[in-house]
Amino acid sequence: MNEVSLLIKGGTLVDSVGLRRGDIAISTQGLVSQCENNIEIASNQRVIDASGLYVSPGFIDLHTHLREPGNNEAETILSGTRKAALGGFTSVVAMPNTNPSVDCTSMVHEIKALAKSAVINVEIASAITADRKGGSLVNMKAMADLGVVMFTDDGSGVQDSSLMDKALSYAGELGVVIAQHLETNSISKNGLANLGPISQRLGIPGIAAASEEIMLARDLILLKNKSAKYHAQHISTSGSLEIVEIAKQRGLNFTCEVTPHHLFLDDALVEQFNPIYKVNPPLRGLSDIKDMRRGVLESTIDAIATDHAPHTLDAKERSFSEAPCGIESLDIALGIILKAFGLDNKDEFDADKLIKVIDALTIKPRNIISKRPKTSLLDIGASGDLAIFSLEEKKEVPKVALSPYRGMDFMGKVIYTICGGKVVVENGVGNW
Amino acid sequence: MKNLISIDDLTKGEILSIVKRAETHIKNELQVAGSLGGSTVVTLFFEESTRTRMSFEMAARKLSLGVLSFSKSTSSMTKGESLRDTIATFESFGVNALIVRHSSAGVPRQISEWTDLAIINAGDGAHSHPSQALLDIVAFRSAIKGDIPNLGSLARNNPDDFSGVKIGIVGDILHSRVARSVARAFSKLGGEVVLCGPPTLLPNFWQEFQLVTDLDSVISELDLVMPLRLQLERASGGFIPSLSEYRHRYGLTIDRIKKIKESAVILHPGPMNRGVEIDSLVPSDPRALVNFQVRVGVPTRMAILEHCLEGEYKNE
Repeated sequence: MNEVSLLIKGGTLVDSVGLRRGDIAISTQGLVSQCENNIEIASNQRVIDASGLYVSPGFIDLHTHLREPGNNEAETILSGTRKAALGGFTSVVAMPNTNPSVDCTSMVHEIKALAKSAVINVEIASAITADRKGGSLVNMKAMADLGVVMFTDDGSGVQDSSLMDKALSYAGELGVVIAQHLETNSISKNGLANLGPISQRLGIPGIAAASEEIMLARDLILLKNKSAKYHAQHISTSGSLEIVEIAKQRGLNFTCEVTPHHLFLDDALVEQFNPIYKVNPPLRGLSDIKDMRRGVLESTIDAIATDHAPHTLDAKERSFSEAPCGIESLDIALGIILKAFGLDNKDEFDADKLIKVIDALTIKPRNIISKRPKTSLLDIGASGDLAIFSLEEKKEVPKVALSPYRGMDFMGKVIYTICGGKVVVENGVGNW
Repeated sequence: MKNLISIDDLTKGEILSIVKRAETHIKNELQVAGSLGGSTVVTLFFEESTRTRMSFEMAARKLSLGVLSFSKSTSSMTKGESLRDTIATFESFGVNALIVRHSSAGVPRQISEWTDLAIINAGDGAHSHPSQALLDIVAFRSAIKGDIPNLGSLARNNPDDFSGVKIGIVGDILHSRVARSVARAFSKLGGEVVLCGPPTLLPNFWQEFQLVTDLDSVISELDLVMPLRLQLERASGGFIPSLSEYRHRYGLTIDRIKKIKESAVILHPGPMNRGVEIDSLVPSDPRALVNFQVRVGVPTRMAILEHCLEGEYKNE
């Protein structure tokens, strides 16, 4: 409950409905109570001046590593959700590869307790198999009953085809998402970077596109005639996009996501041998990046999900083969994505592109994990989750950041993040 | 101070300058002791190696350098010390150069970002092994210049320019730092490089050099044949059907070397798997400079140390 109701005035609304002028009122219950032009200011109402700013539903990240419990030095639910809020996210799906893994009801309870520190909504994903080892299925129904929205062994793919078949069968009636980290271990083996001219010139063991594509194709074959909600995580290759296109054209019902880094960074960066560029799936080639962008614009790719995967400095200063995989991007994801689609350039501004991109950050991921799909997230009665951003303000990444984006700046800054009617980010600064 | 991390760090002129300096050391014409005296180098070997380490340490001693020897197994790294902390420790000792070997590609480059000490790469993963490539150039030039006893003069080329020279590197190119460095070095001097091996061990995406799977189709054109050591586990890894199949197709057998030009040279970066990539009797063939190659290792590494520690030096 909020003490005062909120009125966001003078902004440009952007969502699946389109781009339009509009004000949004949020009740003290934290729900959208009005969404129309020129709402009159009521008494005891806080007004946020959004003129010159875009107002969209709060972003939803289907793929976030919050590291707690187990690696609190790298991230905690508090620190991770703060970064997310600064990036305009109002919900994140916490990946289960913590230590211990989230694979049982008691761990779900523990995450829920820890998530009381969160500044935005934390949705919980569980592993598909016990301790993500690929051996036996977890108690899906018991966890679904506790509100777990997704099951994934993320960090590893489920290698055993028969077990994956059973997971998809079993999950069908539960309405939960079975999400797959697409990696065929017998192909990726000790690979560290995209298999291609760059890794071969540098002598870095390669990860073939086939590692991802074989598992994607396998899963889609297994999905036939099943009602499970299947979601392919972080697709990264032209070949994967082609498989998704063909399967969707044939009427198969499933979804997929792409990360900001696979829309923006290419494998030439590994020439620096700096583990800040080490990520799984690896950074791919320029033509893959081009196809990933096309996939989003053609709506073949449903969601953009960060795969925010923080590590300590110590971990990322190991050798390229020993350092862990992962890139952080929650707080700057919007800027990276806008730049990837050329939306940071005023002269090339394209409203349709902006809408597509915002949909991939909002309603589409929401509908993937929600049991009741919606057509708009700015309707009356919707949760008061909003991202209010400027396309004319810059966000800079410090030169010393442990990030492949270090030293870069991105047009596109989140000015306000409102979660359940609560202003968690104000003038670009956390309200905590 | 200069780094030598990859052959790409060197211009053609610098390569020639280093190999000529090495050649003067071979002739023992220089009074070298003292010029770098007071400097200390560390052989920082995270991956075991005997020959390369000893060769560098011998080279350093001949230059009157102080030498510290680090190996991972006997260091604090077994206690969990990080790579960066290890480097910081040596930096605080006041050493001048780190000679680094590591099983992971890129470690010397990573280290060079953290320190101003000269970094000399003694082999990193499948990435780079520049000192091996430079000593192979020294060995090959000796053959061209007719410096090698019992070989007869092969003089036919300008030793400073390998235009018209065809170099074949044979074997597991995919996993070989030697292949990458040798290919780069010889092509920088104008040579034409052919990478030859089974399709499973060739870098098929990397199109900088000609890739050939049929050794017999090119062997008679080569002026330098370099069989690479075949890791015996490649067969169990499925890269090749068996060692005998490999020998049948790519081994330098007594029969196969009959097709190699009389004027050509065989170099092997060692250690050799006799009976796999090279038959036992082949190293005794007059065209094989395997022993000579080992001999030029120390003088070449002396020249490398001088290049990196002095920054430049005058020949002649």
